[in-house]
Amino acid sequence: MISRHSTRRPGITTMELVIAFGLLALGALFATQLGLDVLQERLRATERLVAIETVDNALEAARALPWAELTPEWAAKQKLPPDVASQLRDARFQVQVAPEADKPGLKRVTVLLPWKHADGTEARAVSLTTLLADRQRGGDQ
Amino acid sequence: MTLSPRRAGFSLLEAVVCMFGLGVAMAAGILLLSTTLKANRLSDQGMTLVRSRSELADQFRADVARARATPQQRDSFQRGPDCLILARDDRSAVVYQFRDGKLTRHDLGPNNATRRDYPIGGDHSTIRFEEGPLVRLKIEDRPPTGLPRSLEIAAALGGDRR
Repeated sequence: MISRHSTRRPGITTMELVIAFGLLALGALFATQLGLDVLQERLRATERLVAIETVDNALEAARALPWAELTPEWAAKQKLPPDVASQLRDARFQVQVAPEADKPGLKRVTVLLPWKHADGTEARAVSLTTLLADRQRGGDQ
Repeated sequence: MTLSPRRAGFSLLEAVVCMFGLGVAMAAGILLLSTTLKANRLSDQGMTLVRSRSELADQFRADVARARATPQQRDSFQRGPDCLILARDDRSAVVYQFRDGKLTRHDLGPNNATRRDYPIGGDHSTIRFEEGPLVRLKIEDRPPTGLPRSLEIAAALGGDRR
C-alpha cells in the first residue's frame, strides 16, 4: 500500500515532552518521599523503643525499692534520664505511686511518658502500670 | 497519491538525541528503583534492630529477675563493664559478654552450656553493664554521621523478692 507522506516531519511535541518529564519528576518525588517516610518511621520506632524501656526501667526501679520507700514522694523525685531527654522531644515524665483503696498491702505504680516527634506532632504516649505488694504483710491481703 | 522521491527518516543527530533521551529515562528509572529498594532495606534493618533490642530487653529482665547475685567470677568469665555474671539459686548462671562488637548470652547450666548472639546494631554500637540495686545494660550508638543515641535496660536483681 502506498501512502502519502505528510509534509510535516514526525516528532515529539513540546506537550509530550512536558508530560514525559512531569511523569519522571512525579516518580522521583514519590521515591524521595518514600525514602523520607522510611527514615521517619525508623526514627519513630527507635524513639518508641527508648520510651518503652525508660518507662519499664522506672517500674523496675520501683520494684527494687524497699516497701516503705515506695511513696508518692519518691515518685515526685523521679526525673527523665538526661540522655533520654535529649532523644525524646518535649518529653514529660510522670511517675505516680498510690495505695490501692480497698487493699492496704498493694500500691499502684503508674508511669506515663508523652513526647513529641521531630515534626512537632504528638507521639502516642507510653504508659505502664504495675501493682506491687508488701509480701511481708501477706501481699494483697 | 504521490510519493516522495526520498523516503523520510531520522537524521544521525535525531537518532543520537533519541538514544540520549532514552538513556536519561533509563538512568532515572534505575535510580528510582534503587532508591525504593534502598528505602525498603533500611526499613527492614531498622525494624529488625528494634525487634531484636526489644527481645534482648525482655530476656535481660527475665534473667536478672531470676538471679540472686552477680559474682565476681564464673568459669573463665570475669565480671566487668563488658561482662555481667548472673548467678541463680540452682548453681546455674547466665553470663552476658560484650566482646569484639558482639553481645553473647551464655547460659551455664549444671550439665551443659548454650550460647546465643544478639545483634546490637553494628560496629558503632557498644555495650556496658552497671550494677547496684538495679542491674543495667546500656547500649550506646555513635554513628559516624548523625546524633549519638543510647538505650538503657534496667532490672531489679531478684525481681519481686524484695
